[in-house]
Amino acid sequence: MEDQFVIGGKTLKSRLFLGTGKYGEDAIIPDCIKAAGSQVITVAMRRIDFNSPQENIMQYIPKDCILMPNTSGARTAEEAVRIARLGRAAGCGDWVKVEVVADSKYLLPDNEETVKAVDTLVKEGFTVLPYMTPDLYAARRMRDAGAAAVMPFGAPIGTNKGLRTRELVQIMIQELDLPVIVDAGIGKPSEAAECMEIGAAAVLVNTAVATAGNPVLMASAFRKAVEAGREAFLAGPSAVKEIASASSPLTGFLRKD
Amino acid sequence: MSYYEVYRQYKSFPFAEFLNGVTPFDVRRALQKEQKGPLDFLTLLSPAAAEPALLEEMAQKAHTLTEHNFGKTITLFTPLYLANICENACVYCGFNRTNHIGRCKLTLEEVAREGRAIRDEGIRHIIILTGESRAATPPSYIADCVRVLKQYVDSICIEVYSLEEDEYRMLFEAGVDAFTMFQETYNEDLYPKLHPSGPKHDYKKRLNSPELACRAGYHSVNLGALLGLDDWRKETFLTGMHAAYLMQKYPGTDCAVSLPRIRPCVGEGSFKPACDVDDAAIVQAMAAYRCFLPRLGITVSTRETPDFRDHLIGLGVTKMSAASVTEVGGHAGKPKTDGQFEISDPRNVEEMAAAIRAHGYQPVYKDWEPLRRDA
Amino acid sequence: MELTVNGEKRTCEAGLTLEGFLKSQNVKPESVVVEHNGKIIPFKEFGTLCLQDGDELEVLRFMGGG
Repeated sequence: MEDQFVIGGKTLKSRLFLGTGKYGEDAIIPDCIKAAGSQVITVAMRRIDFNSPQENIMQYIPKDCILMPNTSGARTAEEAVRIARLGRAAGCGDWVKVEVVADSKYLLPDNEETVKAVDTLVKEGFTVLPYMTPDLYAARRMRDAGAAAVMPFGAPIGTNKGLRTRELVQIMIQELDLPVIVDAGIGKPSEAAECMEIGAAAVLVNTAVATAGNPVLMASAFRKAVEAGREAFLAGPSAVKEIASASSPLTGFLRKD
Repeated sequence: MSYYEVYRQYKSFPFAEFLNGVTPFDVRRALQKEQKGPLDFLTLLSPAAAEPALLEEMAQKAHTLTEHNFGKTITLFTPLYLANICENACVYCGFNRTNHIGRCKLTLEEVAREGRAIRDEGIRHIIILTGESRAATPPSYIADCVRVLKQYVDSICIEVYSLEEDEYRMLFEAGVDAFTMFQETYNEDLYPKLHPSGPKHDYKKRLNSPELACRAGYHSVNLGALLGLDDWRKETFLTGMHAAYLMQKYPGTDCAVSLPRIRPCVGEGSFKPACDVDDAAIVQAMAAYRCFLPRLGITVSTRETPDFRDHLIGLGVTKMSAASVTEVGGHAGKPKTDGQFEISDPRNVEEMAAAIRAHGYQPVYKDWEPLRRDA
Repeated sequence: MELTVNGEKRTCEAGLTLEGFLKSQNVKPESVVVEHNGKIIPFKEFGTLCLQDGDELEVLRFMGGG
């Protein structure tokens, strides 16, 4: 049976989404995308710097990738909507990663504002993937508003601490009938594999690849980890032998005659 | 999307083939999984999982999960039959309209007397029952009874015929907070044969009723299949799937199941069950439910014997009936009629509470208090 | 005339189109998206939109991000 992964009507082969920020040298990005096998690539939207007006990330992103602009910098739903519209006007499709962060100390997303932004953008025809603090109620509201997937963080962005929110993410995977993509916090390939083993639909990685000693090699390692984790999820884990319980038998009475 | 669509997905599933193909290895693996899917649940219901050592392993897991989720407590309730007038002809039921039994319904004065008697017994959660007759016991009558009973008890569950959503809402407004309805059998082809006439003949309407209660805001909804009408493994599976469906769609409603087995009842050609449901089957079904849905309520009625009921404490049960009478007007004095079925555990509330305490559990008489709109 | 571009005041020659302004700053028009007085300007209108004294421009493009 083929393992289909469909978001916003697009069938994807790769379950590893890759960010394009924080690279020491942007010229390495094409090789990282190739090594990662990623199809969905995130970018940010910024005011241009008139002092270096030629610099353009787009030259490093293969044309066949799905571009997913984020709304980073937005502190309210309104700002996120504005940035999303600008992203679409740039002519790169209608995918958007909604990101509303009003807390500059921990960079935690504001779910309430995010729900509002999802609602507006879905109505405008965007394929919306909200980045969120893992919370089932908020995720349900985003689903009801028409989100194509939800993207809870594994740990605060940029911390590389791994899947610290495992219990909450697992509940979301169990309860929601739409893809759950772990975004942010994943520092090592083994952590990406862990996300996939518990049933995440995909992971989004940026810092861990961009700031690795060898980003291209790390991108390749993440690809293998995501594939391995997915296969493990599909295969179903084997039993771990538990130490025999010392409590008294509960079913002995069935055989006492 | 309703549960019927989920049922359709499994209607032609090769149950026998799957169940007989399960190995002890499969059972251990299913038992081990942190999140169990539908086929893991079915695996736990297989003959392979009934092997004594495996059943014990599953029972231990169910025990731990029950204590983690519900603590060492059992909530007590008692049934109150308001009427036994019925237009249905369910072949296994003592209220079958072709049975020549005394028929009656309680007056509101008699309802008050029953309510007082139940309160004197110490019970604060009740379930009220009628036969199916919109003419004799319309929703407005049930609502009148509820308003009377609110003065004596804290939680009222209805187990009546299928209503419309606005009627469920109306009863909710009147003070009902919980709902019980057994699908009897989930087998769509068998169902009309066992319910040959009367309003209950409509399989889909009955199947959809629990969802209507969820939509109407009920605090808890209790499902069940009458075990013995069809293969109990399949029926248990489809009941559990029904519960899982409702729990996912209506996270605000507590979901529970009962595991009733067919009991002898009055009636001319007495009904012969399709399959034998022995004690081990009930234990396996209960443990499988608990492992599949750790937060699921599990109700055990006085259809079961005292000895067996006592052994189920700790296995997964969260709610038990006590001081049960299945006759109309049976709490306050001399019953006015024959009962719906024979009860096997005649213990009164005090005796039941003592038995629960003897197992190291606490009997709970009241576990919630609705905030009244008029307060 | 004076424009506010990305929050900063800039003086430039009068009568410029948006496209002309971008080119004067060494910016390839096809690489950016522009908000003119709060309204997104479609790329095909860059050549015909004449800038007025006091206009506010936001000139953005994609950058690396996650």
